[in-house]
Amino acid sequence: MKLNYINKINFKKLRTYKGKSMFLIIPITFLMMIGIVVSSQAQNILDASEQTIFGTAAESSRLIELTTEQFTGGGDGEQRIRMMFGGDTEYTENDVSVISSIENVEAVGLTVPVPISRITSGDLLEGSEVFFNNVRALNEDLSAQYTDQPFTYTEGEPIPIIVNARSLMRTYEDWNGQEEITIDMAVQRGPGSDPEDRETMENQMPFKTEALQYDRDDLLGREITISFGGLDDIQTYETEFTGTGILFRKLTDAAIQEEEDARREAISAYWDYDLITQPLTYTFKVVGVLEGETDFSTYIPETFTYELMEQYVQNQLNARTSTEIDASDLNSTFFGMTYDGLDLTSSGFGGIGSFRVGPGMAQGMVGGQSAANGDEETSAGYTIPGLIIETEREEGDADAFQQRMFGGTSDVVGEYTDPAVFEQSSHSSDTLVVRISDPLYRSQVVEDLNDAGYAYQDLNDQEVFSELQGTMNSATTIVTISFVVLSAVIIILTMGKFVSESTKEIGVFRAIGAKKKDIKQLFMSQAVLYTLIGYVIGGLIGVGLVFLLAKPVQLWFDGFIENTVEETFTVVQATSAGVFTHIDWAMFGVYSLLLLVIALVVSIIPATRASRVSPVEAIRSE
Amino acid sequence: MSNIIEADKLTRKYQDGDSDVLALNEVTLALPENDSMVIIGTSGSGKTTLLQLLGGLDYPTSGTISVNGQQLNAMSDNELSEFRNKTIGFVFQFFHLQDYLTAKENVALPLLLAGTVQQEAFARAEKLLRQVHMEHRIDHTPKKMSGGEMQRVAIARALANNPKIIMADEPTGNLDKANAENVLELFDEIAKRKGVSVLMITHDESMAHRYEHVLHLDKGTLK
Repeated sequence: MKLNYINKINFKKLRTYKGKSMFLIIPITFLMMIGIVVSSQAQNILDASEQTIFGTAAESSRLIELTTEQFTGGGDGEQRIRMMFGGDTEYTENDVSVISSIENVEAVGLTVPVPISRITSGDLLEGSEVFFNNVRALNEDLSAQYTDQPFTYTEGEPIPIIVNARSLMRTYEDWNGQEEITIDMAVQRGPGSDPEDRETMENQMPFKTEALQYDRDDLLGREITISFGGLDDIQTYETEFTGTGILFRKLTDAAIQEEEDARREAISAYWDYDLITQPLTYTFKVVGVLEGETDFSTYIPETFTYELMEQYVQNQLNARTSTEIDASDLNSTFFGMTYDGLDLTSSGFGGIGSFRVGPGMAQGMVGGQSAANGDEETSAGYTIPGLIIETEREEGDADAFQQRMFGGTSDVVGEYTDPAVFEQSSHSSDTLVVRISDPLYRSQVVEDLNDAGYAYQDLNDQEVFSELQGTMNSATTIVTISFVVLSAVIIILTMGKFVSESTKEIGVFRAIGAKKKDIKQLFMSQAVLYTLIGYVIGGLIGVGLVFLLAKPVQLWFDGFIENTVEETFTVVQATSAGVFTHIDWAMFGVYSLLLLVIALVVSIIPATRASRVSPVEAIRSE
Repeated sequence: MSNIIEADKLTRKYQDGDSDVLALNEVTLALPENDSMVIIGTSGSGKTTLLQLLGGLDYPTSGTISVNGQQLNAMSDNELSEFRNKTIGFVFQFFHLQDYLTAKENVALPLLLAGTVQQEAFARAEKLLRQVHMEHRIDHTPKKMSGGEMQRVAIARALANNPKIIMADEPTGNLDKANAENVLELFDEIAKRKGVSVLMITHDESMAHRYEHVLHLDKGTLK
C-alpha cells in the first residue's frame, strides 16, 4: 500500500478514536512542553546569571575592598565609637603605595569622599529631592566591584554614577501640631543606652527621615541631573539647651525671612549673591544601584571629581567681590572646606545651614573656635560653597573626627585661591579598593595584605554560581534523559496497547491481502503521526509557557540573587524579563530530532509485533 | 472441467498445552470451477479451520491444497497475502468493516493494498457498491448502517479484486431472516453473473438445498 494512503488511514483513525489517540498524544505533548520550558528557562537562567553575576563575579573576584570598619567588628556600640572617634584609621596614599608593592596587585585606589556638602537631584525620583550625603570618587579601573558597565568619564557625555539606594531618603518635619518640642536626654545619653529609649527619642524629634520607594530597574540607565553646591535651606527652627535636654522651637515665617535677609546681607558683602547661590549642574547616567548592608556611598568617576572640584572652587572665586574677609570671620561666620597644605576637609556643617548657638551649647558642645564667641547670645554661620579656608598645619593634627566635624582645629591663615586644591591635597578614605591581576592570585594577595597589617577576611566565594550553573546543567540533562526514556517508554507502551486492541483489525487487513510490511508501516506511521501531533502541540504550548513564565522566573531569579549573591557581591545587574522569554532553539532542535528518531526506532517494536499477528485472527471462532 | 479447489488429506493439529488437538483429520475435497459449496458443521467441527486453510490464512500440518491451480503449501507469507488479495474474497459473520472508513474506502482497501491508484480504486469501489445496491451509503461510515447494509458493503469489498472464490464464514449468522435471505440471493446473483464460486461455512442445515455441493463436517472429518 502507498505510504500516503497509510497516513490517510491513520488520520481517519485519529479522527474516529480521538480519546484513545490521546494516550500517546498527551504524554508526548507534556514531554515536549516540559522539555522546551525547562531547557529554555535553564538556559535563560544561565544567560541571566552570566549577564548579571558571572561577568561581574569574574571581574569582582579580582577586586578586594578594604574598609576601616573591618578593624572594628564587635557590637553596635563599639562601631559607633569607631565612627565618632575614628582616629587615624583612614587609609592614605601611603597605604596605596604599600599595597601597590604587593605581588600581583594591579591597581590600588582610595575612594575619596567628595568634599561638597550639598549634592542633590530633583529628577532621580519623581516628586522628591534626593540628597546625596556620601559621594565618593572611584577610579575607573576599580569600578567592577560596583557596576558591570563602563565607568569612564567622557566630556560632553552623561557621567556614569553608581547610586546608593541608602541615600534615597526623605527628611521632613513633623511637629505633631506643636510649636515647641523638648527632648529629655537625661536617660538617653551614650552609645550604651537602651535601643528602645533611643527609638523613643528619635520618634519625638521633629525631624524624621523616611526611605523613598524606588524601582531599581527604572533607575538603571536613567539620565538624571545633579546639582553641586548652592546655599543650604534656611533652618526653620531654633534650638535651646534646657539643662537636661534640647528644646526645638519652630520659627515664624517672618523670622525665617529675617534669617534669609540676614544671610543675604552677610554673604553679599563678600560674594555676588546670585553667582554663589547658583549650584553646578551635570547630567549623569545611573550605571549601578547599590543596596548593600554595609556600603552607604554613591560613586562618581575619579577623573570627573577633579574637574568638578575645580569648577566648584572656581565658581566661588568668580563670585568673590574685592572686599577682603577678615580671617577671624573664616570658620566662625563663613564656613567652607579647610586646607592645611596637605589635607582638604569639608565643612562640618553641611546640610545644617544657619547655625544658632545658645550659651549652653557653646560651652557644652563646641569648645575651641566657637568658645571664643561664647559670650554672644547667638552667632550665625554660613556655609559658602567652594570656599577654601587655609589653616596652619600642626604635627600630629590628624584627628579625622574633629576634622570632619569642625573643618580643622588649627589657626586660620586666610582664603586659599588655587582651584586645583583637591587634586593637590593628600587624599584619605575609609575604603580602599585593590585589583588583582588574576583571580588565581587572590588568596596570595589576601595573605600578603594580612602580613602587611591589613586585617582582611575574604568573604568572596563563587560556589553559589557554580552551584547554580551545576543545577541548571543537571536540570537540562535530567530533562533530556527523561525525555528520551519517557518518550520511548510511552511510545512502546501505548503503541503496544493499540496493537493488542487491534488484533482483529490486523487479521482482517491481512485476510484481504495486507502484507507484513504493510502492517508494520501502518503502525509505525501511526506512532510517528501521533508523536508529531504531540510534538507540535507541546512545542507550541511550551513556547507559550516560556513567555508566560518569563516574569515568575525573573522574580524567582531576582529573589535567588538577592538571597545568595548580593550578600557577597555589591554589584548585581538587574535582569529584565526579556531575558527569560528566549527559546532555546538549539534544544528545541535536539528534542525535535530525538523525538522523530525515537518514534521511528522505538515504534519498530510494537509494529513488528503487529505484523506477526496471524491472518487467522480474522475468522477465529468467536 | 477443472477444479477450482482441490484438497488432499488436509490435517491440522494445534498445540494446546501438552496435548495435541486434532482440528482437522485427513479431509479431502474438490470443488469444480463455477460451482458453489456449503460446509455444514456444529461449533468445534473444524469448519472454521478448514476455511482458514482453504483461504490461505493458515498452513496445514499435513496434506496439500491447490486453489485456482496454485499450491498454497509452497507459498511464502507474502505470496499468500497476494493470493488472498487477488483470488479470494472473504465475507465474515461480523462484517469486519473498519468503522473509521466510509463504505467506499472500505471497499477500496483490497485495491489499495494491491497497489491500485486511489482514484481508480475509489471509482471501482463506487461501482461495486452500486452493484450491491448500496449507492446511498457510499460516503457513510459503518456506524450508520444496519447489519444487512454492512454485509452488502463487505460483499462489495470481497469482490474488489475480481476474485475467483468468495469464502464466507456464517455470513447470515448476524442477520435477521429477511436480510439473511437478501444476502444469500446476492451471493447467488454474483455467482451466476460473475462466474465466481462461493464457499460458505455454516451451522445452519437449511442452507444445504441452495448449493450444488454440500459437505458435513464433524469432529474434523467429513461425513
